[in-house]
Amino acid sequence: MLNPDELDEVYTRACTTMTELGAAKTELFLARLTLLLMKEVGDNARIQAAIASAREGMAAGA
Amino acid sequence: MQYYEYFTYQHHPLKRPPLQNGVETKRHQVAIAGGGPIGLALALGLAHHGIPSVVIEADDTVTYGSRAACISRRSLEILDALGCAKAVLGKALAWTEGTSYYRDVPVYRLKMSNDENQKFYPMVNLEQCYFDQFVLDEITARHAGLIDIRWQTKLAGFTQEAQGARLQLETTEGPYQLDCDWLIACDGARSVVRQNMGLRFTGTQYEGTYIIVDVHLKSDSPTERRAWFDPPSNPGSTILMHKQPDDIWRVDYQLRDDEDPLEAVRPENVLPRVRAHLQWIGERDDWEPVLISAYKANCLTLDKYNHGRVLFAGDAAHLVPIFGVRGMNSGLDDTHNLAWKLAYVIKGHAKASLLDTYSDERVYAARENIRFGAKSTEFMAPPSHAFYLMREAALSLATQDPFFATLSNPRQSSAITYSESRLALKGNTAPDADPTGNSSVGPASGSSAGSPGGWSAGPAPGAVLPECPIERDSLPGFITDLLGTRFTLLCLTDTRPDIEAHPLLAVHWIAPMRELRASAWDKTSRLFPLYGADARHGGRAYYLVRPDGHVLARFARLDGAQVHAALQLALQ
Repeated sequence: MLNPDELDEVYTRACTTMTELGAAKTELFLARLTLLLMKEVGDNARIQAAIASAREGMAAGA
Repeated sequence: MQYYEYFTYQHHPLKRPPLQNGVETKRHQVAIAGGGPIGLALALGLAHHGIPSVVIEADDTVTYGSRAACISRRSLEILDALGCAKAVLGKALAWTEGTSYYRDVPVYRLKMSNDENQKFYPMVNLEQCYFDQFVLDEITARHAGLIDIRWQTKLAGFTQEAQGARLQLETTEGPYQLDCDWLIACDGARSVVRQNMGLRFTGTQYEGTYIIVDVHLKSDSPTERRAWFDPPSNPGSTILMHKQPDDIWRVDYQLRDDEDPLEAVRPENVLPRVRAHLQWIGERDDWEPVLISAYKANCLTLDKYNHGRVLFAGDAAHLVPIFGVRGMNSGLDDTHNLAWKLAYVIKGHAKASLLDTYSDERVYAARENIRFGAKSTEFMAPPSHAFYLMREAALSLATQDPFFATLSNPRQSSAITYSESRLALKGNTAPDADPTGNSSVGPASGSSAGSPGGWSAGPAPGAVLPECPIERDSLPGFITDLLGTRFTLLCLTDTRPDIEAHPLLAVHWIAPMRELRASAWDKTSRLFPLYGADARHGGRAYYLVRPDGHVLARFARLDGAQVHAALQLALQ
């Protein structure tokens, strides 16, 4: 588990990386990051649960 | 524009039978709608069982062009049983490997299973016109008396009757009608039989369009599957290449969503893209186009393939994506499943309800093929922006980490196991079963592997036989060579099997040692362990196999009454 300082650190790192890349490349970056983290987590059920949580409260649509 | 032609099409004359009041005087047991690869293979399969058929084909020759160009190992086994494997293998190009590239970097190496036990390569390439011709040649050479092909005869419609169907046929010399006991629809994606009955496919149609181009090109590049994602020659596109006999190369490429397929299929739009790619991969020789067509992936099937006296096979029954080569291969599997069942019903060996198992097993197979085919399609022709984005992410990561490369595995066609079929019987004589227990046979329930009384190895009921060399009558052979038009009991044991004869059963004894003088023996010592007949299980195993090569039941001990009971259960 990350402690609050560490979470703050990786959160900011993700933000600055996507800022550098710009909006147009952010989508592919996030897709790549997702795949890499899937590999790191290495647990089908936990990844499925995370996908469901991320989806929660978001309406489908254009 | 001029296209190169590599195949000589024989044109067959129209043949009109004797008529009475516009109806053919002879009634046919089986009429097959469609003389493509599936119709011809079914006719040949039925002929092996001694069942005559009439084939209705609108054209005057075999299928035009290369179409279904990849033949799977399972299909080669079926062609072997039909007597066509030698001709096919004499012309086809075998392959086992493939490479996927992202831009110019190889990211995935496909290696199909090809161990020392195999009789056939996992895949061979052959233009479909040759395939059809070889099946037709076998019909002409050895089964002309049983197979009556009506070239240049169009099926316009039919009426189904309680005991058969009356077909309305059209020819240039006028229409006639034909009566049959059974009508088998092998008339392809736009099946007249299916439309006539108002039956509808269910499933998914994909939007992404591929252009399929055959070119004549002399090249030393190996026969393997090559796939390029976003290649420098055609940025943003996906390109597939396969080598076929006669220096014909199949090039498939995906259109962008904003391209009009009707425009894109014109030679002036196709050829520059092919040229750019051939140049980029380093092909220096001159080349010329052979064929251009457009393709969209479909995942569609009927829910049921038997409707009274009318049955469906091949593209008439289901459409699966080309990616993974399940189209003609699954159709051929349909015919192999259907031929013995229909023959047994016609001969009175089995009740008509046996044909329900044809529908159940092959609808299940179509759904499995669709499941795998859809995954291949979603990678080869992403159906939405999200699929495209994730593929881009996976391929770009695959250049550094092979973990992500397996996502581009084309999932090539393989034999389907009918584990839920009524013809997958469990025997309570598994190796570790309680000998005092119930010794009846019945439909399999769940997986036996790892469960008490389970088998450590070998094909489960519903599966096809894993191939393995044997020596038979002092000659090298393979385990699948022992299959015939009857059920086969394979007895892997050191004791001569003693079982009461049954007219629908062929018994083969395969011994672990030559000295036992069985008709066949396990020369490589690989067969017994492969089939779960190793010393741990008393060194024996008995497999009761259907005429199409799927296991009906297996036993750890030989009990003739059980074998006969299993046969009776299958045929009731």
